[in-house]
Amino acid sequence: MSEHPVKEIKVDENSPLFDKTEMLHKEFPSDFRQIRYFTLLIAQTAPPDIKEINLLEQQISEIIKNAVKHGNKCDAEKKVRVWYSFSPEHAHIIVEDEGPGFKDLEKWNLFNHKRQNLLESQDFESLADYVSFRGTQADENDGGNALFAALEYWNGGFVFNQRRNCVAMLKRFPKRRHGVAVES
Amino acid sequence: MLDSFVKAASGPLLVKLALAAVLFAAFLFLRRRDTEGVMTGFAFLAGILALRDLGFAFFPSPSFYRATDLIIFGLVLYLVTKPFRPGWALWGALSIEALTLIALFLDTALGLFPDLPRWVFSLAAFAPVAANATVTALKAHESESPLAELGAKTWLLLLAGSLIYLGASILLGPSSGLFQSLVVPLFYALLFSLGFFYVDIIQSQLIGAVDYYEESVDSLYEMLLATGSAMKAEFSLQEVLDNMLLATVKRTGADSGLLLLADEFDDAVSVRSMLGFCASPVKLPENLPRSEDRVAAFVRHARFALGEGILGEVAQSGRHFFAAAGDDPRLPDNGDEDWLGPGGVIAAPLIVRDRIIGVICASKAPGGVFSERDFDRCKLLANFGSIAVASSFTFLEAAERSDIEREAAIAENVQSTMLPKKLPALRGLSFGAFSTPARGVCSDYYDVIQTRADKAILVVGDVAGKGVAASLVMVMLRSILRLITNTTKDAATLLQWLNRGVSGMVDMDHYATVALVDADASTGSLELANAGHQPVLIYRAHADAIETVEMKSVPIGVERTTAYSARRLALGAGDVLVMYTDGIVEAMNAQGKQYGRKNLGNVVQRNHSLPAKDIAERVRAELQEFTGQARQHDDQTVLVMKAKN
Repeated sequence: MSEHPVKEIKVDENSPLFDKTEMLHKEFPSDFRQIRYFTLLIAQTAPPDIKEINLLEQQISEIIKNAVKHGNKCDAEKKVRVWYSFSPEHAHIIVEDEGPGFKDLEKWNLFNHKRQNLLESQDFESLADYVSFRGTQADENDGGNALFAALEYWNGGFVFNQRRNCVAMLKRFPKRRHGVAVES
Repeated sequence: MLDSFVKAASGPLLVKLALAAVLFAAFLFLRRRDTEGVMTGFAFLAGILALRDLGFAFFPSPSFYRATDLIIFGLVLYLVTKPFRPGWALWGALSIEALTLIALFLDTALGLFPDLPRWVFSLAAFAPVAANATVTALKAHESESPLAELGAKTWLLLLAGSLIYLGASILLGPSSGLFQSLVVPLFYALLFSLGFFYVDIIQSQLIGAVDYYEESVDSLYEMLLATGSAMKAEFSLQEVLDNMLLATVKRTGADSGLLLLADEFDDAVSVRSMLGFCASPVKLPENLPRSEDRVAAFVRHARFALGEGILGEVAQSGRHFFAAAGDDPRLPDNGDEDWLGPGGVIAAPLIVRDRIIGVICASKAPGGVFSERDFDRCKLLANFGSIAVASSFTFLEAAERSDIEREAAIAENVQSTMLPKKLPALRGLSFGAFSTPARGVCSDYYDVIQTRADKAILVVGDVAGKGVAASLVMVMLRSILRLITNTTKDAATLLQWLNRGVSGMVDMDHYATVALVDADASTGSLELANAGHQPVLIYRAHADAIETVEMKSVPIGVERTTAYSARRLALGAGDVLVMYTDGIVEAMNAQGKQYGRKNLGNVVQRNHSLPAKDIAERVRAELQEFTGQARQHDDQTVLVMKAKN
């Protein structure tokens, strides 16, 4: 079977990723037009050492988009709260909305699992049915694809709280080095 | 007995003793240069010779002389053949001698063989002479030590000298005057000449070593020059690597070479420079077409996990690899094509402070052979080259860091140029402000633009993003504002124009929150418009309270058609208006607590009686006290306007 366990979205209220100590914090209205602006406000605190800043911005943008669109249904009265902290070695984000929570989480995991297995077995014919995920609330533009990428990107974990309206994620950046230690 | 001594002393004894003493001194002197520890043995031999001559003077028995001859030739055999590990030849000859000695002793003491001529016992000395000649002649080439070379050079001389000596001893007898006064001193002279040969050999080896080191220093110098000249203004790591490989290939007499560096993130090494066609150390995939272009392209981009293949193994273990010729079984078999046939391969790790940063590999064309000396040279150049490569990394990182620093400095410079140097003075209104940039951010902007003698427009803005990109947006904001404020339009219209001017102009992010206040000093009336910015605070003197003026709107740059609204307010005597950016209220202390709008309001309220300038200064000081040493992530800007009493 696979060498790597299939990644999945976890639900764990007590995950250390929800520890907000020393994280910066901002609140935004659920205005879809301003997502790029919110993203910039958050990403501007990332240190210049982070090389792929565009990729990081894109991932942050997707998560806020989910909160604004699927969580708060673009209701301008509802807020999106974001906690964030960056260093050259990590990016840690928590995004909370005021929506009902991600109901299709299990369904998504199951879908992703099947998709991964099909990829693994190179069954491209069946894979055609697993190109994009449609939740019950999804509209035409949604494919759940942002989440596939997110799960890959946030290599330090991607966890929802019990209510599933708050998601915490961690990215660890590989440390650049020159050479390998001599074997003793 | 005394007679015989006097007789001997008047003969060649003193000459022989003097010779033995000189011999002893000469070998003792050579001991200092001797790395193999045999010169002491030779000096000991000279001592024995002297003692034997002295003993023979008192006790002139030919049997005594023959017996000591056996011992002396045995000792010579042992000393000369020592570096060759002679084994059976030594032990065989010594055994023959030992048995002969016993027989001689028994014969002398008991008279066992009365009819046997005594010279027969001397024949046993031919055993060590023959063994000596055989071993040195056959094995001399196996070692490069000075003593081995001595053996190789002098074995014939020693053989001839020994044969003459023994022949004379047998024919003339040890007591013969001719033998004692001519043959024995000549034999000593022969031993003496061995010492001279030894000095000569050591000298020439020394000169060879000096040549070798001179050449090594030359090659190091060449590499230093080659890698150093690559570290110039247009620094290129590739050039450093190419030059280092070139110097190594040239100096090892190789035909081609590869230089690999460890990957930045993975446990692998990748080819970073290739010189000539170098396939010998690389295992080519079976399905790779055997054409020179394809093979060269494969090797040029080859990557090996640590431990994989010869080069991966060197990168993992840090140990050198040396296959003098292509027939080494460790080299991969890449097929039958002649041009792919393996040649000698040397691979050396590039190590700096216990870290393997790469591998350098030199390789011979098919059939080519490397010498030990080439291998040593390659190791030397690898040691030195590692330092050049490591310095390049340090240099590159410093350059990268200075790029980041430079960009931050440019942005800071632009920002400080944009901010007003001096705030205007209007009758009835006073102003105070501060702006503290966060390192590398530079996104806050404020301005007080006097439009008439009694009117001014106050602006506080916060550009999203940071660095040079943010400062460009700031330049746009300022230029447009300076242009449009010179009209009679209301605050809302000004923001709308600003928004249109900034939106969709160029292909870059250009979001900014802006709060704008149009103040009339003569009437005390204010017009306030806000584009997504923090609410404006007003300290009301009559109520001694802070009023928060919140207006919902979106930042500049989100939509070209956004309509902003304006609000009219009046500023009474002693009232204080405060505009500020996110960086103030979101400033965090070491405990992770945000400063907040409430704290800001409190400072203003407590210090409302001070002039605007001092209120701004109090805010700055108290904020500084609150945050302490905690690093701030955003610019902090406050603009205060106070209506005079």
